[in-house]
Amino acid sequence: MTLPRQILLLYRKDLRVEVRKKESLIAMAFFGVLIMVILNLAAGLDRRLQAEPAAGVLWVAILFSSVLGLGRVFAREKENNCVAALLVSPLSPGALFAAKALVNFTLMSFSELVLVPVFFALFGAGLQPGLPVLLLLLALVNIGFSAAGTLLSALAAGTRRNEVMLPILLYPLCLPLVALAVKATGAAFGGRPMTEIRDLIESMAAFGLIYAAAGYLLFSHAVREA
Amino acid sequence: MLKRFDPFAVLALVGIPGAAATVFFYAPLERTMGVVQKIFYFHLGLAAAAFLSFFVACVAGVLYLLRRQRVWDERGTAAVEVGVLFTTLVLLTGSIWGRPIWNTWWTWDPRLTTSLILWFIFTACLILRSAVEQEEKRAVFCAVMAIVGFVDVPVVFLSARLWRSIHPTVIRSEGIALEPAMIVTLAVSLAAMLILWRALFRLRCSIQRQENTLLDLQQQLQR
Amino acid sequence: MERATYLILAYMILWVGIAGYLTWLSGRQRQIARRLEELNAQIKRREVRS
Repeated sequence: MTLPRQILLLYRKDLRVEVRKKESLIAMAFFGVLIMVILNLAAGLDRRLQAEPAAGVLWVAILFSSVLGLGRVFAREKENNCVAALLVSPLSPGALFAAKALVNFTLMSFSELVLVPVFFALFGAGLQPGLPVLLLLLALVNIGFSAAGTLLSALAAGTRRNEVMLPILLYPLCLPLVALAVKATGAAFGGRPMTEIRDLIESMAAFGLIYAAAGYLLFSHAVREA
Repeated sequence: MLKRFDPFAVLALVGIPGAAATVFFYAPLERTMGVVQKIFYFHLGLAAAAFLSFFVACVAGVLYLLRRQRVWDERGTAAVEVGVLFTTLVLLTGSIWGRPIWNTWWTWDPRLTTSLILWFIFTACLILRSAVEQEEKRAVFCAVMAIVGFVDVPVVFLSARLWRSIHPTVIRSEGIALEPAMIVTLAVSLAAMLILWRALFRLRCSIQRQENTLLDLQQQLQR
Repeated sequence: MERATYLILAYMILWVGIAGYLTWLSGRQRQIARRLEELNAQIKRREVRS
């Protein structure tokens, strides 16, 4: 089987499980909305945030909720002892990584379909939506976060404290990505043109590329021990 | 057999007091900053050694994954641990320097941000180490984390440019903006810190090696 | 001499940090020695028994 076919096969398998059980997506969207409601209460009666703090709220909600989904995708295989089966099968570990990363990417994107409208409903007053820029930024963060998250969730699944380890390992690595995303989104909400945030976007793309490559190369080592 | 004295430990025992003496008695007083500037010499040495440490951890991680030899895990562990210690000290001394000079303990300057993020990543690596018991699994996980952490450095640098800098750039591409006597002091303390790093690194490696051998012996005995 | 306090504080933290690490390492080293002793005793007991 060629690599793209392997990836597609694994991807469809995981999505089918998710569609039947719906365990990750609902939890992610629910938790994300909850975070935004809490932060909206904390923002006070005025409920008006500057562009940059508002961008921070959006990314906190997205990233803290998506770590729930990231952990599940790998822990599910682990609980049913499917990791060994997948490794014995003629599928390459690289394909496994790509498929899991794609699943995480998809889950994040779907939960953002809920989170972004809710964000604009709660905090949208006085912000420029700048939709194309926002979509680009969302895509870049999803790529970087799901690539790094997939690799690290394989590590976390192998430890005794799975649920605690994943955020501890993942957030420090993603700090620069989050910082870039907050700055870029803040600029976009402030109505500044795309050319101004070009080097931020390039750095975010670099993050995604680095972790996609690192994940593809290192995943086989991590998953064999998990 | 283990050698009784590590030459680097002996060198460090001579070098560190020597460097301290140079800093306090030889280096001239800086005009605007005064005595506080004397923190800088060891601060820079620590920072260089810490960064070297993380680089070594990354290389050791790659070599472990390729060769699966225990030595590389021992070196990786030692490098991460000493690196975290040194980064902690860099952050603390830098912060104490910043308080009288910038009038604040902390500021989001590129270099401070980079050191802080590296500190977070490699402390996470230490936590990961404590969370896994089986030796080989632990070694692989830590190797992966050390590589992934070091690979983050370019992006950390890129993102750190977002914050305006008030950190002094002493070493620029045009040359070093210091008096000759200060440069000598800086070189001495930098060398002393690197020797200290090497001594601590070897000490930590040997302890890890002894613990591993001990575990092997115990397992053999139980069989 | 406000500033000298900061200098002293910084160097104190520096040396205390390194000394603390060395103390911790020597603790581990002592533990290794103890475990080695226990192991030796175990081996001796076995030899006597057999």
